[in-house]
Amino acid sequence: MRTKDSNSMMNELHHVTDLLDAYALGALEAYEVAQVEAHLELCPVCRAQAEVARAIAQQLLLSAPLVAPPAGLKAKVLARVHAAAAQDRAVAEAVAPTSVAANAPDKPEVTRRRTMLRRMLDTMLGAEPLNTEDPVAALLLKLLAEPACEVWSVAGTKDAPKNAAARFVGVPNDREGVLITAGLRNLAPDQAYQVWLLHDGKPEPNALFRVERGGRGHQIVQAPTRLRDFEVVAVTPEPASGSPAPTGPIVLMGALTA
Amino acid sequence: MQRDEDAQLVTRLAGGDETALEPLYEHYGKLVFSLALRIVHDSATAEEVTQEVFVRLWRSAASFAAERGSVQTWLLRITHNLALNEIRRRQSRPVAADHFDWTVEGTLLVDSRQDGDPALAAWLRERAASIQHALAQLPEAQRKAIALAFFGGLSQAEVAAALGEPLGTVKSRIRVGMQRLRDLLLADGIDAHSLEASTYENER
Repeated sequence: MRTKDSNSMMNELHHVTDLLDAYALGALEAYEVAQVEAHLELCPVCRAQAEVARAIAQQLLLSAPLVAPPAGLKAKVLARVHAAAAQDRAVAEAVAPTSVAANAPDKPEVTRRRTMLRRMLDTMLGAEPLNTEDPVAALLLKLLAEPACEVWSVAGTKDAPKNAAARFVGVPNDREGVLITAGLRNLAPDQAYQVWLLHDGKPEPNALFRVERGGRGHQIVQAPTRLRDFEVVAVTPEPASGSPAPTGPIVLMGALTA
Repeated sequence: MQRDEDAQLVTRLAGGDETALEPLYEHYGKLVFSLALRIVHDSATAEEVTQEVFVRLWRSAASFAAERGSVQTWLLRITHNLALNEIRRRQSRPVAADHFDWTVEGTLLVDSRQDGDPALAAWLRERAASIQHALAQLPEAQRKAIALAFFGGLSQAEVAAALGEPLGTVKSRIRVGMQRLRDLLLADGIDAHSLEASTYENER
């Protein structure tokens, strides 16, 4: 009886001893990592060796020459964590469990939304502390608190840098949304990114925005009708004053599916 | 396994007590900063990485407290990952092979400033000396290949390109070097099988 496919049989038979040191150092190519990990699932002998290699690598981390950090670093670390804590509290308040006892454990959905919101705030703010007076942050907190809120993935296209991506947050039955981007190119001063909402395949011009360091950007999008009337959100680089119809290549695009 | 004091501090963090962070920074801030600096080679960036590491510690405290792992091990692993992400993010800056040579002598800066926990600081210095001693006994070529991979975040192929050596040569240098390190550390009384678990507490 064959209980394993031929690939895993091969993996089981061929030990990956020669790859384990490089694996522990993180020096393998992706396909080699996949090969090692598939084999480790099945082979206790290699697993034990991998543990040893990992432990050696862990020791190497201790070999860094000890250098006293700059005197101001402690204050920066504490301030940064303080800001993160304030942000977490704002997130927890915004996305509160509904119709459950206050001390009941968080539902997975609540935890998921809080995590999403925190990631989006992180992307939006970088190391800046959260200012709940900021209109974009305030809208984001409000939207994520709505049970009907959707977070749509907006992917970078072939005309965008490899790590470009965005999220579009909104309630399908409302008109307001927030677009949060990362990894976009910085544009020349006479250019700006423009948001387009597509209705029946026809792009309707929307807000303009610019990006900061790391290609981070955020923009409130006011749709002319409910968001659910649009199928797609897209972003193109345009002249700084905007265009009535897209002239630049689409760099971000995502379907607004329910 | 874990230092009792650290475990208590992490439990306090998990409960939302920010004040537990300062003693943890006193214990491990220097170690985290030093490792980050070792990888990013730039003090300002190492400071940013250090801040991010402690934010991660704050946010992961709840799940981390449940795992009951060693804080030190966790911090070093996160620092390594975040620092490598940082240098990969700025890939436009080419990795210079000589950037990653291990200067073995005179690297242990024993500063006179009192550390948060002198016994822990002494233990860390001793452990660092031990691993540096082992590294010093490797042929330079092996040391360099391992350093480029581990602290430079390069794949074996990228190490080969950076050094202008054939891939096969680099692979065997890494393999032989790591095996040698394991033997040296074992000879030095560090049991490889329990390295992960060998925290400060149970050696004290």
